[in-house]
Amino acid sequence: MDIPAAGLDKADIETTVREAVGSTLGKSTFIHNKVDGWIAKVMETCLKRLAQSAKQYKYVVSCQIMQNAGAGSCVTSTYSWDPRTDDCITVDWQNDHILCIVSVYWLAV
Amino acid sequence: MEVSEPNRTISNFRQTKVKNIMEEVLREKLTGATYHPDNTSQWTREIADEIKQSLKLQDMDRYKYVVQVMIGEQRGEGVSMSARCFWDHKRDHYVQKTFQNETIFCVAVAFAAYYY
Repeated sequence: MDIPAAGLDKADIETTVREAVGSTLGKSTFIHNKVDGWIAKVMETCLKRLAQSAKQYKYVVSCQIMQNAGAGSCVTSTYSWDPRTDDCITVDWQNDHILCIVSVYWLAV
Repeated sequence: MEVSEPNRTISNFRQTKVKNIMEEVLREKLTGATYHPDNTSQWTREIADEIKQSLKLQDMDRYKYVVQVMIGEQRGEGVSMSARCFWDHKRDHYVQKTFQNETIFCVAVAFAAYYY
């Protein structure tokens, strides 16, 4: 019996995320009182695009923005789900002043 | 005559229990710890795995879990984290816990999504 592959295109989602982050942060420097707005914009752009796919999935998008000044960090995620239908992608983006990590998880209903 | 109502609880997700579990895991793993780049990857993996295993043991039917753990170095640099979900707000849940000391900050988030 063929097991159906996860029903979303990972490459397409990665492109969506990179475009959302790039268009929001671009060449910005780290401005503390703008960060929350940037994060909201990135996540809303990603979620809107995902929701348009009209597939039977739930989506979780998480976004972290950090000042790129040398402090160390590490992010790990783990999951308990159906690997035939559920999956995730993590996108790292940075410029000289900002580090941004966006993770998108999709889970079949 | 006694009439019993059917159980109308939509979700059997135990928010408080999960909060306590996550707080305990963070405290156990990170109390007294000092940030070192060689350790953080292992710590995040262990914390995420322990939280996930604890969630699975709670016998909350028909949930899928995602656990995300971030450990960062406390150097006064700016950081902001957030998450948005497109899901069933009556059945799906998230719990977030943080830990910090002089050299480390840690944010752990658990997402629980119901499957029908």
